[in-house]
Amino acid sequence: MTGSRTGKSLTKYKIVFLGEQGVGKTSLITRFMYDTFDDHYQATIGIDFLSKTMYLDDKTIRLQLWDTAGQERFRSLIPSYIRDSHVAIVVYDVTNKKSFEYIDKWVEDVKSERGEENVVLCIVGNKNDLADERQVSTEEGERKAQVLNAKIFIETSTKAGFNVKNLFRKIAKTLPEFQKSDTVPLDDKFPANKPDVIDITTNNDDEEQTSCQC
Amino acid sequence: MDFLDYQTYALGDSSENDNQLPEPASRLKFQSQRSFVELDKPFTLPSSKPTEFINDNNGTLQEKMQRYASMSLDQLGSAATSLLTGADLPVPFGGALPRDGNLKQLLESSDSTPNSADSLLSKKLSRVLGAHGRPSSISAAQLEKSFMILEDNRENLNFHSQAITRPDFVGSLARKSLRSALENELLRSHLTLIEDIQPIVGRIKRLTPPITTIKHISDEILHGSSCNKKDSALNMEGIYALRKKMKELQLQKQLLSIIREKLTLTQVEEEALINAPIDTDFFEVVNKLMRIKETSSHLLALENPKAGQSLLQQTNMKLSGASKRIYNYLINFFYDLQSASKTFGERAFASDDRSLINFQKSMIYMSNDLPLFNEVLKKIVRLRSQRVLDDFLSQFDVDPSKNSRPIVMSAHDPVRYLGDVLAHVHSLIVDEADFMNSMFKFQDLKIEGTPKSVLQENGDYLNGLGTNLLNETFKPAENSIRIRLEQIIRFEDDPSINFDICELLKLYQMMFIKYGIDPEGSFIRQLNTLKNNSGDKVMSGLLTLMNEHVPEEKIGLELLPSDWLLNYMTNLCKILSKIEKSGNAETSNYLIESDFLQKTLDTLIIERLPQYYQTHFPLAKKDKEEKVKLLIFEINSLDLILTRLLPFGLILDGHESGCRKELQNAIKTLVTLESGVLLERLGMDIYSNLLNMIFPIDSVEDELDYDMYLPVSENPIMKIETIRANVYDKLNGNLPNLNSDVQDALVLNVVSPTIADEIANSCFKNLSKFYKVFRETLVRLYPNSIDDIFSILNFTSEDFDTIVGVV
Repeated sequence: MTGSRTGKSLTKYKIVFLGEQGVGKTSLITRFMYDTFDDHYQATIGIDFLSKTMYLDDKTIRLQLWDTAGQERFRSLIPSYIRDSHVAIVVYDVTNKKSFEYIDKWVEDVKSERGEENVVLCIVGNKNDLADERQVSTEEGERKAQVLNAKIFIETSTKAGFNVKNLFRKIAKTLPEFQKSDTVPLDDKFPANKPDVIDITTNNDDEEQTSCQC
Repeated sequence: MDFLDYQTYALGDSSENDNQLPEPASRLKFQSQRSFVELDKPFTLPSSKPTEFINDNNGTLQEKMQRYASMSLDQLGSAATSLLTGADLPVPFGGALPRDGNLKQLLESSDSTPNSADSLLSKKLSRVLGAHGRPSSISAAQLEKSFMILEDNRENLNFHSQAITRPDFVGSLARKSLRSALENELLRSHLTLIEDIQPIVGRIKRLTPPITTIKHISDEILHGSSCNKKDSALNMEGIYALRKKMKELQLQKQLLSIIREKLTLTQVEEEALINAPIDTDFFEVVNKLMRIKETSSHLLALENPKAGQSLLQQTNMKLSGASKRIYNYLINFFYDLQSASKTFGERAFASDDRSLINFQKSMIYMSNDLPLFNEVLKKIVRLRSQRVLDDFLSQFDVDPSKNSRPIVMSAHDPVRYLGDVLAHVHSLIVDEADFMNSMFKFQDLKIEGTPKSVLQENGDYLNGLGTNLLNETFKPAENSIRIRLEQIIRFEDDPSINFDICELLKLYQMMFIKYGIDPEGSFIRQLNTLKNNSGDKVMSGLLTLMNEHVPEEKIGLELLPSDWLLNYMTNLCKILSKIEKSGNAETSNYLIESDFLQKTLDTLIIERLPQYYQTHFPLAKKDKEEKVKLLIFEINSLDLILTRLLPFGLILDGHESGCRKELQNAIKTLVTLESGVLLERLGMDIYSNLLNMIFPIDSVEDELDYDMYLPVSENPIMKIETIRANVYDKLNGNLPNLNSDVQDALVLNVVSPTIADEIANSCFKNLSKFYKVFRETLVRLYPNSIDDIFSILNFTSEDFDTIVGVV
């Protein structure tokens, strides 16, 4: 029975956020979820979880966002969460060269857990609004993404709300749900009007993004 | 009022056609109306030929008519008649209408052929006009009024004045029609009037007998002598009483009607309660029932509570039926959901989904019937628990066909295995919490018409229902989870790994609680027990390492710390390092605040090591050499401990001071021993003992202190010759190599060069001090034999210091 009495079928996708401490993993999620930004830094303890229903191209999916702590002492927990993730987003801070260099280690962790093919690997350069403090150029980021065989590279600014929806739209488009052309829309009503759904069909942050789809 | 009669005003030459014309309606006879006035004076038509008249106002009516007729004809003659159409033209008397002729011709023709119609018309008009002047006839005002009425109703009556005044057949027909219309109109108005009057007449007739009776009675009362005052008063009271009773009865009836409306269900509502789908209509009926129940409780307060009891019983019965229906609906809903989830994958509801709102409403209503409500919850919990348990266990199934990634126990990384298990449980909890929150979130639900008491009474419970169910759902899976974790924890002895497990469990407890797992619940309690077990195993593991030294183990000549101590310290330091990495003390409170350091460090220094020394250096108390070895071994061990603990000063918070004190004691003892050995090698040990017995050498500071030693001169060993025999050879033979010998021996055995230097320096300082005091004492004792003394103790104090390396 697929009637409304038993709800709608909804595919869930696990996305794990990785990266050094303070690169903006939590703020990336907060910007996507609530479209807000908090200036006060608060370290994540353990692993945080948030989930959101997302609407794109007449299809609705459920994203489970696993926000990992960047602190060293929580590192041992992270592989257990990469183990069954569909998407791994490795975040670095464009104003912090070291966080960029550590990408390799994170990607290695992802590949050792999920292999090369079973995961959508994204590399995200955050804080790109801080142009004066930039230590990693966009080209460097793109090159690294190519070398690491990342499917998506994008620079974002969670503070300015730049490219955040774009990132999730790109991720969504790589998911099997959006690869199948014959998939029937899951909801005949336009669900973007519903309060618990994020509609990323319309590009609200229309800024011209300086990124490449590797 | 009278009717105009133009009946006879018809065509004279068409008597045959007359019969075909409609018969005029019979004249209404009203007795009040006057009959037709007869004309007694003949009226003659004025000549239509143009005639010259003198313009004066005098003359008879006939003359005036003649004049106006003539003037009218002139006007008509001059006017163009070509505009007149055939229909408008007057019909000539011959019956044939001159289509293209004018009025003049017509008049001329009519004039030339006078006939009976003219005469009839003349007669009629003469009758009408002739009656004008008579007092008995209709007054001019009346006539005018009549014409005005006609004029006003021109449209209603379809009244064409031109057609009516035409003398021909059309005119006749028009007049007949007018008459008929007038009569109809009159009849209608009369009928209306009669209809209006009819009920009044009926009422009058009906009221006539009682009024007549009343009249009679009143006549009797007013005029009858038989009635007295008392009787009439009594009757009035009776009437008042009856009236009052009547009012009461009316109120009672009104009240009963309202009660019936309020306290009973209509047939439609009864039907909805039994057969309608669980939806708005059904809930409305249930709302009404609940209101009835609330109201019926008031009836119980009456003197006779039977009505209230009966109503309450009925209402409860109906509500119970409704609850059963809701119960079935809820169970079906969840079974459908579960089977759909199994078949089509995970299900989800939008927050404004109609079926979800219906479900939530049903849950709210169900909460009024606790036994059934609990039954529903039990079923929901059972279904969800099964799903959680299946999902949990499926993670351990190795099925290559499914391309699954099972959690595999790894012998070399038990922490990772536990981490995977706990991470999966974490994922199950957040999934379940997500589901429960979407299904059982009642606070935002606006339920119109629901009696307030439902939400007020059950609101708190309902709002926390999702969390409660989440906890209940995980209860059946608790054991499986615990077993999976315990099978690792139980067999893990490595204190460092146990520490990691302990930290992992602590962190996951915190994360589980964050997503709604009850901190006081059994699941967290079980995790806590596991955590404490692994925490205890950290301690017990370390204590085992502390105690596991082999009795036969021999200490090497190097007097290095034992392997067990090295191993123990490595493990302890690993743990301390992890505590330090965990950030701050608060995350490892249970270790720091408990007697962890006391047990792991103090016990080692105060109990374990002395025991070990005693076991391995049993002759230390008797044998000085053995004692030195023991002290060097002790110094090496304590130095190792302190060196290893050095980076954890913040965590230790002074706990290592005991160890440091022990080390200092050992060094001091060794220095004393070594100093004695050195003095012995120089042959001065007996003199040192002698002088120290009188006054400690270390305490000598000024000249007067030397006087303390003057009595020693009586001692035979203090004779110069004896001193020479005892000291001279040894001093000169051993002193030059003394420094290097001591340094070599200490460096060889004391691991820490700093401590070795410290011991050597202290020994030589003691030696130097004694040499200085001894030489000076002898000088004072034998002031006359100074040369002899200087020949025995042939090194000056400065030379002695230089040789032994004291700065």
